[in-house]
Amino acid sequence: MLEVTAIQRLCIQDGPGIRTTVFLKGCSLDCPWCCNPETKLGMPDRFKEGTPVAIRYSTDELFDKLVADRAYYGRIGGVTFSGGEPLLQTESLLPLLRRLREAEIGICIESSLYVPFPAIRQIDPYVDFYLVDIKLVGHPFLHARYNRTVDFEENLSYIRTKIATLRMVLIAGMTDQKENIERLRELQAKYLLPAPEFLQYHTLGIGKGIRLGVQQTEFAVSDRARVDEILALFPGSTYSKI
Amino acid sequence: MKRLLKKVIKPLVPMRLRAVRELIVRDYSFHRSGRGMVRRVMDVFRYACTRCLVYPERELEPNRAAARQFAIIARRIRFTHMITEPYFYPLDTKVIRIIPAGTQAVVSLTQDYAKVLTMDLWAVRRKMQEATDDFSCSMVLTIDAIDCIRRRALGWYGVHDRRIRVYLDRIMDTVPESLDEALQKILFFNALMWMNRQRHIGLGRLDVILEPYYRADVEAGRLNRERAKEMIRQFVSILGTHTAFKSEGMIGDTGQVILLSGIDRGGDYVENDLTHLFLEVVAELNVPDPKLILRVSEQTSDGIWAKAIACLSRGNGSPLLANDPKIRGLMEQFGYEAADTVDFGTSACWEPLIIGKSFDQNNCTDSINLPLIVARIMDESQEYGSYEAFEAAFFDALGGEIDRIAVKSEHIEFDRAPLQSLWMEDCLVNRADVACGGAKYNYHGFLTTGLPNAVNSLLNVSTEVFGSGVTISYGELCRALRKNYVGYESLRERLWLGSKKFGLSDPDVLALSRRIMEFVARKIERTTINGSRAKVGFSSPAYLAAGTITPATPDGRRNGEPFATHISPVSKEIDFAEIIDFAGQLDYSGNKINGNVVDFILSDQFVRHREKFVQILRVAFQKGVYELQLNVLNVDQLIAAKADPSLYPHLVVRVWGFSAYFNDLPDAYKDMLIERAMNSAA
Repeated sequence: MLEVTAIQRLCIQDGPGIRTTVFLKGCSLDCPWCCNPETKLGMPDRFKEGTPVAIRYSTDELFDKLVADRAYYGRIGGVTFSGGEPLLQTESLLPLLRRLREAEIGICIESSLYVPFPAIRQIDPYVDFYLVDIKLVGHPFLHARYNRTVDFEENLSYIRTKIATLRMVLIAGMTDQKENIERLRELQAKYLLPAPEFLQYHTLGIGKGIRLGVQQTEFAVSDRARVDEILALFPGSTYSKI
Repeated sequence: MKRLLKKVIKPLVPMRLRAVRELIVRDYSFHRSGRGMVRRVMDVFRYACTRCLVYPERELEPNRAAARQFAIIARRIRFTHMITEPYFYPLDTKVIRIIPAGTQAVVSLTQDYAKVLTMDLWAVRRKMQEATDDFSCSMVLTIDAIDCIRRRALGWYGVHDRRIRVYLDRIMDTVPESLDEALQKILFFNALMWMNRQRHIGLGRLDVILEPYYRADVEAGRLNRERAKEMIRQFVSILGTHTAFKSEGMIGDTGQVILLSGIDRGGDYVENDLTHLFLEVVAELNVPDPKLILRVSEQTSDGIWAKAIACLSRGNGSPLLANDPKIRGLMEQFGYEAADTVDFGTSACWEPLIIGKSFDQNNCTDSINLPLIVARIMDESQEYGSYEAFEAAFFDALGGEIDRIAVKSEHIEFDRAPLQSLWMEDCLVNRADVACGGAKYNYHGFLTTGLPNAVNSLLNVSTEVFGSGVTISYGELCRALRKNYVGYESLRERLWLGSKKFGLSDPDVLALSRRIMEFVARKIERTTINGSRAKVGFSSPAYLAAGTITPATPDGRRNGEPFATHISPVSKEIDFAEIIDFAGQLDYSGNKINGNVVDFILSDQFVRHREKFVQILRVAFQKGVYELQLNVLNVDQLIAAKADPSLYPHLVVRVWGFSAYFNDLPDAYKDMLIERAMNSAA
């Protein structure tokens, strides 16, 4: 069974083509700026108004939902698994990915790569490409309840030829700090990674935190000058606003 | 002196004042001076003094009377009150034809402008002159009235503007020799139709009709694309100049619809320079009137889709997208000839008819108000042992209401429309006015309103009152409705959010929606309007007005609130993909062809990813959507939405890995979207 917090159809910003994005519960990280706080470990099972945070789907149930949009996917689109950290549910995902592969539906994984290497190795044969979310390079906010190993660089090296997009949310005083950007440059050079897609920070997750009864910190958007400086350091990079 | 006295006294004549009081309500071009009894009386007097009302002569037969009114109008219109350049558009909004008492106006027709452009009116006059029946005489009078306006215009233009003089000289009997002349001729006769108070006058398939003239000019080196575009721009601007005067029901509701693309009589897909030009011009002018309808199919090119989306992204609502093969197929199934369905157009906004051959009055009866039926049976004194009994009562009441409307509509005495009949070959052959059955097709239509609200109401009663986890008794629910949910706010919210909603591809929801549609269709099948079979559609412009007279309903809707717009969700859980799936699974066969519009509001994010959005729309129509009205909110609408969240409660904003509703966004984000829409508009 898979624990799913949301299924969003007709996503046009979560990879190439038209995609259905499946958000899975559970994450190895505890980023304070998370826009999907309901996916974190240790969060309540229900929002304050009583709606469950996640729904459990069998492989068949989820496959039927996803294959119904095949006409929209065409040759370029498909399904993106996000969350949370989808690779925490690798074993449950594998049967679904096999079926999607047989149905010739494209598969993308959006991941922070802070997962054990075996998870990547198991899932990689079924994945067409990855969206990699970069947080603070080398200093992730690992969740206190997450007690397994994480093999970030080993994972990155293993999948580097399939990385379609490197994403980083630019947050003032946090991810846009000089040190972090420098480490990102080093990482990019070391593994020959694509130019990053920088994303504007948004506070849309704070409302969900309130519904969960959880206090979340509000950060700030990086100012335009800093964004321009960063973009200049990564030729070909982009900055997406909502 | 006598003339002066007549001018002062005439407006005070009671019959005239009564007519003025009715006209003033519907004439959006008249600027009222304000509220209060004194100001209203002054407005009536001012309107009466400044308008020339042309009454029918009771002693004449009806066709002749209508033609005679046109003849009087022809002599009374003033050229200082109309557009005379770059094209002559003889619409004088101060001269008003009075429709005979006891008759219903002829509305929502679309003439075949290809016929308008090529018909030899003198030849028709000679033929009609041979007979003395009411219709034939009305044709002669009508053609003479046209000629009267033509000659007066020639005199007015004097020796200036040789171009317009030449066109006017030829307008009665000569096929235009250029695109410019063709546009002038269409505008001339279009204005005259408006002068005859036939409202909602459609424009038809202008890319098909004008193509031969455009092509001939281009091949002869007389015209290039840029110049043609400028001419189309002027043409469209003139048509949209009198929106307030032409509006019916609400401002913008003029029925001036231009249909683009589709297939031609040879079965070939239509896409030409003019198809592109009309889309470009309406996008650039960004006008709400005239409107475009794009007939789409698998063959619709990426280029046309891109232009359609570019036009939609301007927020003007054009084009409405019509599923060309589906609509043609269903019309043929209903009874229209296959060859004629090639030229399907719409009466006003979306109800299909055959251009130039239909008198189909597709919205000529009271709308069937589905939520009102639900509200009426929510009676505390009644007891229902089960949901099945409740639903049976609903259908019983619905049947009664349809019977009531059907009886009222069985025989409708329509106004006469000689100027419309003139262009219809069947009317000339039959020697019968279009309103007297002269046209080939006379399939009039009923419309329902509030289907989503009615379905949601019944679903809520099923689950909340009679379901396994009963949350409220029937009596308590009735009391909550009677009190308009005051003191029952949490109930109202629960009902409004409800787990099963119209728009979900859930078996129960689909089954109930289909049951209601099928029931209505079968009842309508047994009715006739003026002896002809009738159609029914599940979209209606009455969703606002009908909502104002409908009490609170079990879907969580309060007393007086508007209904859902056509086939659209009333739940924030149902987004575009869901409603498309749902609408594609509804059954529109039989007589259920009188317009079935999925209406959805999008922020401009979707349309900015143009290629992807084209793919989404292609698939939507493959899934069987009948008609699709997309509303991409523009700057003004976003600003209004920020000020009043109730305006667009389900407006979706998509970001990467997230989806939010505009109303849920903090103000700072709303401002960002508004700023971006401003930049995009600039």
